[in-house]
Amino acid sequence: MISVVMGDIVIETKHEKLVALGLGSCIGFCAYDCVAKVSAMAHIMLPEEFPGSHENQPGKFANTGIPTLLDMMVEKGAIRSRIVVAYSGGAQVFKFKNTAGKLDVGIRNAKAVEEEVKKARLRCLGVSVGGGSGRSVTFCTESGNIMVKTVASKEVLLCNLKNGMKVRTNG
Amino acid sequence: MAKISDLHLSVLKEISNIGTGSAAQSLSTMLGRDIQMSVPNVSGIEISKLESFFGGPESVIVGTFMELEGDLEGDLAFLFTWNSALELWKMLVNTTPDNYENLSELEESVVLEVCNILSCGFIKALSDMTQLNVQATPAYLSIEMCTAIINSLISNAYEQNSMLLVADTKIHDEKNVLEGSFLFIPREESFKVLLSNLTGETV
Repeated sequence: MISVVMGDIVIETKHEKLVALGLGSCIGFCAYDCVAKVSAMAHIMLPEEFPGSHENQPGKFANTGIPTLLDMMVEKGAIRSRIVVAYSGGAQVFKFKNTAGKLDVGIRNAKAVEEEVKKARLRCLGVSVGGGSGRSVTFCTESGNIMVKTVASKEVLLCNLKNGMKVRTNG
Repeated sequence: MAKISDLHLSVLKEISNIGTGSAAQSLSTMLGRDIQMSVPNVSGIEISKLESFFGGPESVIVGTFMELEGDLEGDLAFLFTWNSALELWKMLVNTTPDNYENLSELEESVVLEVCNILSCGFIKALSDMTQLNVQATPAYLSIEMCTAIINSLISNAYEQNSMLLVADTKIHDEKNVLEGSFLFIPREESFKVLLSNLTGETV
């Protein structure tokens, strides 16, 4: 099991499980090419790089993290048109009565990831974003299963990136 | 995210010590018995250290969050383990929730009230030391996996160019001790104002 921590992009070719534990406003982004058998996960922190962010860790931002993840997969033999993706996270964990503008990073992250997915014309099989619950995301790279867990619920199957099965999609 | 120096930490230590003193006094007065509070250590945020303090990334913790208004911009957060939250409820209202999904209104408001008292003690110390006008706003609650709360606070701080300073906090009466982490998250610009106000020099 490889823990993908905030700002990380991990490429996996040996069937090791990829996990992002305790996603709050962050997004766990999973991608797979079932022919080249290349799996990847990014743990995205913010929607986009901003002036003064002084960072050379592209995985922190949706607008740099997703293109970098795709490049890294291609380097390992993946082909862009075959890559399928799923993602989860982007919650607002504090209970606000009036949510406008306060700690809304999660909502903006989910939007930014959606845009990157569209831009790269990736086939998306599962999305579980928003709401008030933190999530842990596990990508079982051997089976292709994407599992999502919250404090209130046991681990549930979001989709399967290997056989293209969509289980449920929300948000 | 803005870098943290020893100077930042010693300023936090000083404010926290004075702040927890007055917060403990408020709590004691409210409850009619002796409550002590201390800040044994201050540091910059280290995710792995905090995660292991709270029992691992997926351990459920109780957190509150408050924005500051006035001359200084930033946030305050207070985090404690589920077990410490249970001690807190025992200490203050003599009841405990069955589980974290079933909090009564009383139990929720107790946590928020303690956070308010702590934050107000801190803000009062801050205002008294600097003569700056700093005001509290309503606090918000989260009962979540520890990493979900910590990473959400870090992402927000990162984007606001804020600093994240952690004050380990102990609250105890004659019988119980509970430990938590108090997070002071000032915008970098605000910390400069704070420093120049304290030292009389432009930083």
